[in-house]
Amino acid sequence: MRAAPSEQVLEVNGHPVRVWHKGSGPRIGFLPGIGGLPRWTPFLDALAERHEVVAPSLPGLPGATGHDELDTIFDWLLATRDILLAAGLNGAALVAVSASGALAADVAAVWPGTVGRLALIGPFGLFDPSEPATDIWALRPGHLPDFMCRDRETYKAFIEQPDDADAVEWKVEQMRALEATARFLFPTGNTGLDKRLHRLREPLLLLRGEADRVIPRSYLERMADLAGGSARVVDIPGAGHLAELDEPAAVVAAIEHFLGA
Amino acid sequence: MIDCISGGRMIAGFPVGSPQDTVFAYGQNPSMLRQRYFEAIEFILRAWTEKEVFAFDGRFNKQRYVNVWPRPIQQPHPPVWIPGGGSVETWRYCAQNDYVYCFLSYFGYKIAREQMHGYWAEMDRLGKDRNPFRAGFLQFIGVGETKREAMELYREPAEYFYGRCLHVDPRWVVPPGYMTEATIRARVESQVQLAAKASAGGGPSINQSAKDFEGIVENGYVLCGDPDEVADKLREIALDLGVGHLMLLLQFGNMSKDLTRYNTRLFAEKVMPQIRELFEDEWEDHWWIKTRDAARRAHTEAA
Repeated sequence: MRAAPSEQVLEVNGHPVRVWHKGSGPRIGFLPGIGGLPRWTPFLDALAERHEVVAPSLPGLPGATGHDELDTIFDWLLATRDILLAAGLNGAALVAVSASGALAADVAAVWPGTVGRLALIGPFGLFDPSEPATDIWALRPGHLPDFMCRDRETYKAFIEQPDDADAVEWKVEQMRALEATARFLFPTGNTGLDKRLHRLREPLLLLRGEADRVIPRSYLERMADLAGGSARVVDIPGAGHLAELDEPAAVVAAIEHFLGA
Repeated sequence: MIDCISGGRMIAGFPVGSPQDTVFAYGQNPSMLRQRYFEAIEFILRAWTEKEVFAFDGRFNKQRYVNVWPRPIQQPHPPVWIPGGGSVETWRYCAQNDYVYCFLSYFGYKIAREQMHGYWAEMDRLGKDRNPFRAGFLQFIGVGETKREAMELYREPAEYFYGRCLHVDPRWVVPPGYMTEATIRARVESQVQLAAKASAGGGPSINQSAKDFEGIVENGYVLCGDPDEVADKLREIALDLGVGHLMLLLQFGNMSKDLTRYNTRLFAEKVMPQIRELFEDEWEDHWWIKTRDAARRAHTEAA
């Protein structure tokens, strides 16, 4: 069994923010997808083989609070930037997934230099009524895993309660994480990012699980068109929305290729 | 305006709203819903009570000039009743602000017992008196001249309502943030306890909702009978639940206009007189409408 990441709890804007660290090499940040990061993953282990991975939480996701004080997308961008800076990620490369992809792209666009090379996996942030993203706030009970991963068991294992966790608080934490992402994405996932993406000058990699049932490929293509710097879309065969959970090796390979380019 | 044209007969009921309406039809962010709700009540109360034009600079509502005209007849403001489904937070909110708490459910008095006993225990903890007029309760009613007649008359509308009118696709029921963390915690705790009981061989007790009329009446969803029986039962319920305000549904499902009138008339003439003064000797109702003094009303009737 691999070693657990080291954990640090920072205080940012009066709230605790859990930060996980592992590995050595060039520093790279990781912001998690819908539901946050309830546990360390094989993807992060693989990334940590050649990088110092720094994974801070975001308000309302497991390990951090304060989402209920953030009302506008501007509040969220400031909070995200404050957390990146506090975690020592100023100017570092960043991987951001799904919901937090929308925030990472916006922070990179609004504050040039805060984010280095940016890799997004199945990012939210746009909406197209002719090809709507899945309404993840209106899924039937128990259906979320079907939309998060190609193999629902992969997502269920990701969110499964550890033996030493409190059953009630574990569930509350998951509900809170879903609420936190709803707070800045509801109802369509459009954060107004399309108006600001032209400011993003750093290289952008857009990864999409080929079997993603949440975000259509056209959204990533449009982001690539709107971005002010170089951008390309890469498909991850055999993966769903949270592609890094389904196909960790392929996602790490794509990211390392992008970082080394 | 309604308070004015009714001569001070308005009761303000402030529900959060069901998620399928508030969140999905009106597009309110579920994570901000309760924060907006509480601010909106504060805003409305201030608009009713401020004597001068004021600015409201809330977190979600910003109005530079607020000037309510005409002003409410009832002073300082119309009574506020808050409907709830049994969360402790709502009980506390009502107690702190001196609002009526109304347990609204379509499933009758049997299910309400546990809720209302919990409510009064919480009022005791908060040092509030047990004035029954602090509380309201909703009940379906079907009155006939005889029990037999009532059972014949109200079968179809009751089965229509419980069989057809309550379906909501589960995808619209619990958007994240609609339920407070305290409520999630309470529900998960009770699920954990049920699971523990089931694995210990006790088995969870699942309350199957009835759709046939015998089951509907047996479970107490609809209180059905002759006037004396309905009055006796309502008295028993009001005393047991400690509720001074009854919200009675005398029309439900596909009940016709004629049957609705019949039900309402029988209730008004033969049931209501038996129970309307139930608590009035002992308790004062601070939460009822205060109509304008008759002498100050405009004379609109022919002499």
